[in-house]
Amino acid sequence: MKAVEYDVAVVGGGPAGLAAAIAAKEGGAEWIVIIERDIRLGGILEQCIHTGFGLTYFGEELSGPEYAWRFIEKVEAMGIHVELKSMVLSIDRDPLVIHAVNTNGTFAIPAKAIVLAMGCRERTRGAIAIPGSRPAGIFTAGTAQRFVNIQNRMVGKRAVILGSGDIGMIMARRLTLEGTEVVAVLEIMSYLAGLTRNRVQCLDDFGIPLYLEHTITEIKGNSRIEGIVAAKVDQNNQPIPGTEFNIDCDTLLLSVGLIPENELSKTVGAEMDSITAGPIVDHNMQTNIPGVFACGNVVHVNDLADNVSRESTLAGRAAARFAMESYRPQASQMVQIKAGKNVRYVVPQKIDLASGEEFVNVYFRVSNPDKCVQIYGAVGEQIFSKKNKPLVNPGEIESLKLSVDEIRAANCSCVCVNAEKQGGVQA
Amino acid sequence: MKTREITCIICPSSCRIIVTGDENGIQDIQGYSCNRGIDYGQSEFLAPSRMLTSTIRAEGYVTPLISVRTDKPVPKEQMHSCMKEIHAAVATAPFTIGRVVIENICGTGSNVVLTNC
Repeated sequence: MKAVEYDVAVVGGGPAGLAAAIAAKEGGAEWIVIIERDIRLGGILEQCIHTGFGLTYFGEELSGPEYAWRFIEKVEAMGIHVELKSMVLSIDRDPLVIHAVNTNGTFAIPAKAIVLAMGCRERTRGAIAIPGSRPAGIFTAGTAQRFVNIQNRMVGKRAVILGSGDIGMIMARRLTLEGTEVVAVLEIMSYLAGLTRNRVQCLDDFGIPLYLEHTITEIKGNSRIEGIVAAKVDQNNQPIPGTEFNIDCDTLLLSVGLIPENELSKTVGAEMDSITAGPIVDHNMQTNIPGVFACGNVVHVNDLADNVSRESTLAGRAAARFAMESYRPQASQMVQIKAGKNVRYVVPQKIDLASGEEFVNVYFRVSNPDKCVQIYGAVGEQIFSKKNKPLVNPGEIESLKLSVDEIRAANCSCVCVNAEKQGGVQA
Repeated sequence: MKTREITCIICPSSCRIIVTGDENGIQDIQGYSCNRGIDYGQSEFLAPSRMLTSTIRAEGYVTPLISVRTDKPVPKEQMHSCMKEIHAAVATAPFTIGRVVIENICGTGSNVVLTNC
């Protein structure tokens, strides 16, 4: 294949990549390519057949494939080039070149700007080290979702789900409707990992028991899983002896977290955040490598696809500006955004004061659930952009709108984002 | 007269809506933060219904199944009978989003429509 230089090359054709490519085109970039490893665009949305997508982005409730189609239609109409069934292997810097492979062999795609939109993958049994035998019948929730929703394969007759993440709860409902008995959802933490509305409509609606502060201490069975041993855990998440009980099952789904997929980001030298496991980005979603942007679940695991689309629009627009040479970030104008009280991480991790916006939204997850919380930015003793929130939960992403003028006036190098119990803050 | 606490499922805010009334009507509703929350609280109290999403066998499609949903929520207690009708059906081309593949499923007044293409 002839190596044509693209203005913007997008790695990944899921919600992040689609929104970024459209925004790049709307932002004036002419030659855009999306490189996708699957046989069609849409990414994981293709198997997310449940509704709940689009409430904030389109103001209506859509299923995953419908939500994806809104973007795919636009990508096609805009004449954005798409390379399907193509896997990116590595990315060079100075100059930026993507190396990929498909059935025709390997090929290179030089680009003025690159958007990393590879999404995330599921944490597996190996990552959480459940003791016991290694029989068949243990799936990550997303793998089971793909079997059931795309490939027309049932995973089992009697299932236990470990982890109360959204995909796990959604699969509890899906399996129940398809005739599998879901006997328990176990969650090691004292609170739900996913969205409350999913507990209501996926577990409560079908009478599926949720065991908080419980984990699996043993997997039984030789060729096929025959059951698990569950136990209550203490404050350090250690099983409490004497609390064990058996649950018979032929299937175990793991919904124990997602990991941003950043092998490629590392090949180009992107600096990573150890908490999010994604690249460190500024508020235009640019990594530390000039011209390399990142968005969606590759940066941090989002709760809603709508948030991914919004964030990816910023990345696509900025990538177009970079490709047209109308935007270059200034290291001297960068202010760090750091996680403060009860905040686990903040994205973006940097704000470029020179880029012209009046306000910048930052997104974060809290470390622990809390009620009657004040969310605010702080520079030393100085507090700004304060707002109240009746309830915060690590499962749901929070946001704070920061005024760039206020940050500039504070003449600081770092702003902390805090989520503190009301009353703890001096006005 | 009874009072029920309902967790709204319309958006991630998960508002706690407190509804007081009986089967004939609602006396009081509190705790919502938008109009859709009022609607949800009322219908959840009087006649709970859910949007049903599933897949249907598809002949001549790129994968063995294509995703579907009801175009309106169906009564909660009829979800399993609706699933039986969905399992028995087969969709054929043209595969376009929004095309009705089962009309008036289980007499609920809701149609089953394709959500992929």
